[in-house]
Formats: sequence, C-alpha cells, structure tokens
Amino acid sequence: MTTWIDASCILIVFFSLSILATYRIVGMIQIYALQSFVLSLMPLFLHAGNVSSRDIVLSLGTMVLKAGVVPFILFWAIRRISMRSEIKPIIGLGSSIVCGALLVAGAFWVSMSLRIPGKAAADLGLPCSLAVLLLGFMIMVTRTRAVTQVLGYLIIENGIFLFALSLFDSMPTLIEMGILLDIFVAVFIMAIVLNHINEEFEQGPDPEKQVKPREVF
Amino acid sequence: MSSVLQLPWQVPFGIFTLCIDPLNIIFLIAIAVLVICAGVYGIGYMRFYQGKKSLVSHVSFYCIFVLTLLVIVSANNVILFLSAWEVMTISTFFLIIFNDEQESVRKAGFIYLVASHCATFCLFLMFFLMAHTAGSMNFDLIAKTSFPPMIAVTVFLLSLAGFGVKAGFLPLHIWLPHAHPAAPSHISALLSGIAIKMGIYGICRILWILGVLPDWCAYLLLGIGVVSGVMGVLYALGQHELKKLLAYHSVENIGIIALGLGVGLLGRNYHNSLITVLGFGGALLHVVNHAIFKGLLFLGAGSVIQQTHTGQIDRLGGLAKTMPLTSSLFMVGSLSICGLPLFNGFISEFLIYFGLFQGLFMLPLQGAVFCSLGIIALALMGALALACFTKVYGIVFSGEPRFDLKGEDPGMLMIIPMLVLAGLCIWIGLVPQTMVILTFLAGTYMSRISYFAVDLNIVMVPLSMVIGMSFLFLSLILGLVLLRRFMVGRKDMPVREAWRCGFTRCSPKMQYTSSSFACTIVEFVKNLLLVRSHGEEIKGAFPNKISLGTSVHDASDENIFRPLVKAMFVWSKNIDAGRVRYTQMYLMYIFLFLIFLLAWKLT
Repeated sequence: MTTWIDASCILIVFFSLSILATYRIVGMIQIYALQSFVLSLMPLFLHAGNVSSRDIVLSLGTMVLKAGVVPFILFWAIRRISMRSEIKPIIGLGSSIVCGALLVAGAFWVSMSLRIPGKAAADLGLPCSLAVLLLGFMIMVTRTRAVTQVLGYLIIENGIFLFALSLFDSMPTLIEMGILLDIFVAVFIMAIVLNHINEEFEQGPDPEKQVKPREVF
Repeated sequence: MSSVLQLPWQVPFGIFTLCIDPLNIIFLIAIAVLVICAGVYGIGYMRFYQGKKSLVSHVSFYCIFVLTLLVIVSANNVILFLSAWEVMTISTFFLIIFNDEQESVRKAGFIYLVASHCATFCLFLMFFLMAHTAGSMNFDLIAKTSFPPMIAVTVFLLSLAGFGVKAGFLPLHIWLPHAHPAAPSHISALLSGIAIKMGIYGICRILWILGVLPDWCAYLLLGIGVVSGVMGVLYALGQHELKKLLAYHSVENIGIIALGLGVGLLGRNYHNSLITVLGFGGALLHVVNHAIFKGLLFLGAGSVIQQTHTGQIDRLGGLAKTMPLTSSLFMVGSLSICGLPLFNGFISEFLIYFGLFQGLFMLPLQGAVFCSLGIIALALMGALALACFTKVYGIVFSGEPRFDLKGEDPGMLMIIPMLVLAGLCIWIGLVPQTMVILTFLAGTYMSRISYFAVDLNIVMVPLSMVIGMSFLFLSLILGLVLLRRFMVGRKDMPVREAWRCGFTRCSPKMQYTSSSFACTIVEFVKNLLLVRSHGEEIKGAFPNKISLGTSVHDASDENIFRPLVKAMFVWSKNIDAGRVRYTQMYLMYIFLFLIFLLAWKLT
C-alpha cells in the first residue's frame, strides 16, 4: 500500500508542476480536477488495505467536492463572464518550471530535517505536501488573472489536505476543517462571479486601477 | 516596600503585587482626595448630558481610570506597572473624547494618544534595560542592584523622555494644552491633578531605584524645571481660554516639582541630607498641593463654563456678583497656585526655596550657581503666576459683564467638592505639619537616609514664623477695614464702576481684555512666545471700525513637532511612491518570508 501512497503523492506534485507549465486556464482547471481526484483516493490506501466506511465517505466527499463541484463552478464562471482563456504569467513558463523544480527540491530538503513525531522519516507524504503548498503559492505569485489566484489557493488547500492525510492515519477534526476550507473556497469563487472580475489584477502604479483588487481581498 | 496585596496573575514575568511605601503613599493621598471630589462633581456636571448622551461608557472608563491609577502607584512589578500604564492611557483617551462630535476634541484625543504611546516606547526600553541588568522584574529587587554608570544614565534619560511626556516637561508638553480644554471639566481636573503626576511618580521611582547618578543629571533636572516653569507660566499669561490657561499652569507647576526633585538630587549627590529632604519633600508636597488647588481651579472653571457655555475669558466678566460661591472658591485656588502665604502652594514652594538657599550656602560653587538660578526662576514664576491669576480673576469674576452671559452658582453636588478642596488648601496652608512630616518621610525614603538624620525644626520654625507673620498682617488689614467701617458708620457711600479712568460714558466692553492685560509682559518676551497680532494699528484722529487681537502660539508645537510630523509625512510619501503595488508582489513578500521562517527554524 505504501507504494500506492507514494505514487499518488508523486502524481500530485507532478500535476502541480504541470499546472505551472500550462498556458490555458481550461487546461489548468482540468489538471486541478485530476490532482484532486488522485488526492481523494488517498484515504483508501492509508490503512494498509483495510478500508473502513469512514474512509470511503471521506474519499467520496472529497472527490465530489474537489474533482466535481469546484472545477464545475470554475468552468461555469469562465464561461459566464467569457474571459480570455490565456493566462498572463509574470515570469515565463520555462523559468516557472525551473523555479518550481527548485521549490520541490527545497521542500524535500526542508522535510529531511523536519522531525515529525510518530512517523517514518522515509515517508513521501510530508515533502510532497510541502512541495504542493509552495507550488500553489508560486502560482498565486506569478500568475495575474483572478481565476489563477483561486486556482493557486485551491492547490495550496490540496497541499494542506495531503499534509493532514500523510501525518495522521485518521484525524477527523483536521480533515473536517479541510472540508470547511473547501466551502470557503466555493464562496470565494462565487465572489469572483458576483464581482465580475473578468480581467487580470492590474499592475503598475496607476492609482485609479488600484481599486478593484482591494475590493476583492 | 511592604507588600499589602498579592493576587495570582498568569503573565510571563508578571507578579501581581501591590506595595505601600512612604513614596507612593503621598501619591495615593492625592489620588484619593481628587478622585472622590472630581467624581462627586462629575455627577453634577454630567447631569447636563443626561438623556442626550450615553454616560455608561464615561462612568465605566472613569472607574477603570481610577483603578489603574491605584495600581500604577502601588505596583511592585514592571509588567504590572506597564499594563496598568497602558490601560490608564487608553481609558484617559476615552474620557478626553467624551464630546467626540467636535473635531477639535477628536484631534486632542489623537494627539494625546500618539504622544502617550511614543512615551511608552521609551518606558519599555527603560524598564527592560533595567530588568535585564538587575535580573528581576520586581522594583524592590531592582532597587537592590547597583547599576553601572552608563546604564544608570541611559535609564535616567529614557525616564525623563518617557515620563516627561506624561508629566508635561517643556518641549514634550504639547498634548496638555490640547487635551485639557477638550475634556469635561472634572476630567481636566483629574488629568492635571493626577494623570500628569504619574509621570512625576515614575521619575521619583526611578530616582529611588538609581541610588547613584552623576552630577549633571541633577543640573539637567533643575534646568528642565526652570525652563518648564518659566515658559509654562509665560504661555499661560498669553492664553485667552480659561482651561487652556490652566493647562499651561500645569506645565509651570510640573516645572516647580522638577525643580524640587533636581534640588533633592543635587543634595543627594553632595551627601547633604537637609537639602535632599527639602528638595524631595518640597517636590512631593507640591504634587499633593498642585493636585488639590489645580483640581479646585478646574472645577471652578468647569462651573463657569457650565453656566455660561463659554471658556473664552474675554467674553466673561462680572461673575462674582452672580456666582459668589464659585468666585470665592476660585479665589482660594488662585491664591494657592500663586504661592501666597496662608495657602498650601506657599508651603511647598517655601520648602523648595529653603532647600535652594541652603544649597547656596552649603554646596560648592557649581551647585551654588544652579541654586541661585533656581531661586531667581522660582521667584519669577511666582510673580508671573500672580499676574496671570490677577488677569483671570479680574476679567472673569470682577468688573461688569461684557456680554449677556450670566450664571448662577451650580448645585450642591458641584459646590461641596470645591468646598472640600478649598478647605484642604487652607488646612495645609495653616497647619502644614502633618503633610510636611509625611513628605519628609518620603524624601528620606527616596534618598535612603534615616528619617532622624534631619532635624525638622530647622524648617518648621521659620515656616511657622512666616505663617504667624502673615496672619498678623492679615489681621492688621482686617482691623483697618473694620476701623474704616467704624469711622464711616452707616453713611451712604456712592457706588462707582471700577476701571472708569475718568471717562464719562463707559461701556462694559471698554474694560481691560485678557490680551491688553497681559500685553506688557508678553510683549517683553514675544520672540520666545511666538506672539502674533491680528488686525491693524489705529491711525488718524477718526479711525474707522477696526479690530486688533493678539494670540500666543506654542513654539515647541510649531517649531519642533509640526515640522517633525511634516517631515515624516514627506518621508513616508516618498517610500510610498517607490513601492510596487500589485497583489502578486505582496503575496511574494509573504511567500519569501514563509520560506525564510522555514529555513531559519531548521538551521
């Protein structure tokens, strides 16, 4: 079963990296849905083959919410406000991937010296979750569209979810908090639709254009 | 210090211990007297607002304020002291901005808040430096350590800066003339009588903790006293608003107290116990006295303002006829603040004078020079204060009403507290023994010498002689008045207006105004005071209708703090202009900081 866990961890990091390398928003959302789908399978592998009903409920809940509802809302949002479908990165895709790779390496390096009580040091869950978290942050920093901000946030949230799963075999409160966070994200997405942000966050020192992002955050 | 109350308190390094010692008992007396009087007065004063404004917050902040005052004075722990200090600052802020619908009041509150917090920053530095050196956060343990000279001097300077803002030493006093007029009158009384004394208490506590200080610290304290005292009273002389004038008098009296502390410190450095005790004792007695008479004056001013709805001195006049009780009580306060014999202000100033004269004879040349400077300054302050209160009493209470502003004496709730304070003024003035002995006890405690090292009679004998002489003089005048009554008999005497000066058709508006009264003195030092006149000079034999007025502006406000604030605004604008502003940049700052934290925690 550890193989499965490690495999899905690596897949999740890989998907985060490929979001960083994607140029179109639709593609990003699709990859996010895939990543969430893999993540939602994780609870089934946790107890070495003994799948309890609780795990199934958790897995199904995550799958529906993260791989179903959230991408659906995002797709609906971009269709509704008919945004341009290209992202507008601050740094180019190539250098984004290089930076992302460096961040993944950094996450592994950090988690080598991070001692978590009660866990085997060789586990891939901890470094992968850190890497996903950092990559999500990086997406928020380097992409300027409103939707990419939300996507970055969702990926960070996935990282937190993975962190919780890899640390504890069953941690009801933390996971429930994760689901609460999902609901918050849903509200966040609705806020975008309602505010009709169909362009990127403005840059530069033009003071008149500063108003919009402040209204959102 | 003997501990009287210990409570469990879950704060790192904090111990909730309240102590009583001869030093803080003086302050506790002042707090107890003024808080009760101002509280009772406040019930009468705030009745005007009943139904118009919610008084609940005012009353609860008043209670918090009183409680924190008691804790500050009796705290034996740095953390406890600082917590109470902060809570006091904030509760005072809310008390000041009671009339927050006026913009000037909000501004005054803001200035107070900013000034206090800048001061608290210095206090934090000072206390932590002290606690670090001593290895303890408790005052009694800190006092037992001997500090290296560099640290002692730094602590002393920081305390002057930090506590000096609260106390209102001259360049740092800018919040006082804004906050005092803005607050309701009983709050102004407390601010002036007690809140600024917390700064003095802090300095006293630091002087007690730092047993040894270099000589120049004493000269510095003395110099601060001289400058604050003289400049405070000069500014007061140029004011046209009753409470603002009283606020500047607080600066003056704080100067007198600082002068006394400087004399005490000088005596302590030269191991002269008499001068030490006279200086410290006089300063501490002046703390109590100032709390009493300044409280009385502010409450009196509050009665005037409540009745006439104005504090502008030039609009008032002739109130002695319609408000006889208030005016005579205000008179008692005025006589006390001028330091005239038979009233309490005289006693404390006498002690300081006596200490200065002793210093003149017993100290080496350098000390003697500073002592003579102190004597001259103290005499100047007394004379100028007399001129200032002649102006206030003469224009507000005597003469004829200038406008149709008449008032009656306020109700008993407001009169009785003033009566109590006036009674205390006269009690300390006539029978000073009790308070003098108490303050001498505190003075010896502050300089850590035995109480019996000083012979009280050296002071008490001349003091009682002066009181006796003034009593004789008073009875002589009273006798002359009675004699005149007796000689004149019951004949009808013609009644004439005062200040008539040979004119035949006088209008009440032809009386002296506060500007014209103070003009001769203010003109003399107009470069120091930033005197500005508005309007034009009278020209020709038949001048047109013109107006002329003068106003005095605070030099440290306009020449130091306003340029400073302006420069800070410009500076921060420049920083702001160079800033990159888009959301991703902020996110990146957070991101980099996160990574930094992770790396830092791991290595």
